[in-house]
Amino acid sequence: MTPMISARSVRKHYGNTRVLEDITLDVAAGEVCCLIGPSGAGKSTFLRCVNHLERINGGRLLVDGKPVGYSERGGRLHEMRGRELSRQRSSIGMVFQHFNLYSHMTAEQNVSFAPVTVHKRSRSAARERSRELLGRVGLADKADKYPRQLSGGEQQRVAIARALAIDPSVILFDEPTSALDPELVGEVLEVIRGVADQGLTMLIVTHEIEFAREVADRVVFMDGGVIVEQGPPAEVLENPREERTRTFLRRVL
Amino acid sequence: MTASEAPTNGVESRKRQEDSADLPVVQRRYPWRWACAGGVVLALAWMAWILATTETMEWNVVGEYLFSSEVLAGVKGTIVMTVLSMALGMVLGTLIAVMRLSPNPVLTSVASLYQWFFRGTPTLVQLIFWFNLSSIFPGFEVGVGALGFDVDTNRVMTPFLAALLGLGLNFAAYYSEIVRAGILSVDEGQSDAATAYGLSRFRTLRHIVLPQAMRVIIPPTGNELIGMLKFTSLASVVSYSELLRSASDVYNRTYQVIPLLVVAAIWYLFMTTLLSTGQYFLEKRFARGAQRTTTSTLAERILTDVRGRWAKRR
Repeated sequence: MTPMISARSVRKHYGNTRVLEDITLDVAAGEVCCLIGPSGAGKSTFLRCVNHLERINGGRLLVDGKPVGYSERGGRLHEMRGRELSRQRSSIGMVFQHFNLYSHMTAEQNVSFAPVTVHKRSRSAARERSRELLGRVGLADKADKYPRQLSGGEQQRVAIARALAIDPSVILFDEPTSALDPELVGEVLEVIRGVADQGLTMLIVTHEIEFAREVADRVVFMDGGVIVEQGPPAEVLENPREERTRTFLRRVL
Repeated sequence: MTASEAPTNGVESRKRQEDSADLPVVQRRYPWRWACAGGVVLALAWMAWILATTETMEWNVVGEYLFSSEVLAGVKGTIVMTVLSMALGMVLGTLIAVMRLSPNPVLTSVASLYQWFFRGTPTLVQLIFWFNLSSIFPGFEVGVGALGFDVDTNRVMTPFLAALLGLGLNFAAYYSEIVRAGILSVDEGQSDAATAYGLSRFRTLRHIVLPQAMRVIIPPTGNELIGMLKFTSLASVVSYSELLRSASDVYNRTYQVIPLLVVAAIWYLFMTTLLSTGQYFLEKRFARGAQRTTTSTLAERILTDVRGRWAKRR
């Protein structure tokens, strides 16, 4: 079976700063994969490469068997134009550290915006779906609120509903709880847990080690732009083989 | 204070504190605030009285010309020129702002060059330049091959077109900076999210970035619009018939300079007042999703109060 996400020797640099060096990683369909590691390890950058928010400088990156941001024609990879790219992105949901809800739209509009404008769903159907999804993340009564009127936890739950609304095959979570007050982290993790149980492929950058232990099928520890160690949470988190992993876990646990 | 007194006092004060919970509250009074307000109002009234009673102000002449057809034609000219040059400036200005933020270095430089030139030379000079364009290009050809025909520049470059180009192109340069500041004020995460969900660059700009930038763009635009309304008076030098031109046409005939300038001033004030009211409502419209309240002026406070009473009565 082809993996949902497949990275082969992915490299990324900004000028002379190397952020990713030789990342090779497969994420199977339906797998929940947590990326952990110290800040500056390249976790978020890798995530942004998966939907071509960042362009990779070397290696191959495939989602659902197709190269990200490039299409193959005549034995060459051509960088995609707007429409192709947006079609590819339209099957990848993303949840950001700072929520990034469209601040001039209500919660309901935030969730139904991409389905209407990109996926060409009818406005009424999208609105209905939006309300249903908001209900699922426990915000049925907040559908007409603007992001500013919601707490951080509520905003992030709306953002998760927005990701679900496009019926994605993959959802990328970029430190979904890092910007939240401690007492709000729980409600967001609860919602992510619920999504994980549905069998969606998820790539989660997180600092919540306990959460990773519980929800992940696989934990990947990154440091300095490389994958140091990966495996089931029980292995990586309980009996890490590498010294760097051990040092990191000692610091955060 | 002796040692034996201290505990008694403590009990007393605690007792007094408990009692004070039931005492009536007297708000602080501000006599100086009233005195200052009164003084200022008196001074204003005195000035108004002087203006109203000075004979050389010739208020009857003001009344005579305020709604004369000549002046009204000037008012119309001012409104038309303001609207059209604003429209030209806003469209062109937005385009230049987007060019300046584009990843294409040639477009960025051309946009900067435009701003540099049109902001760096006086509007008056530009107006006169357009008006005298025929002295460098006496005529030009329109069309292709056999279908082309010659045009006399003086025929095309009317006072109207000279004023429109002079004011509009100049305004575009200023407006582009307002738009650029607005676009930059929108958090990058917003376009990240829009891009990640499959929106093209253009649609991200149109649906996500510009609507949010509007909140920052509208207040200075209102200012600029009011400024533009007054700037159109410059067009009088290229003999475009706007308000100031009409007024001066009259006083060149009758020598009643001050009363006609007062007529013009009254019209300018009337129009700018209308515009600032419109700006207030536009700002409210685009403040959706942003909670910062605007500080209210006296007029707004009265308006809210009246509205409240009206609602209560119904």
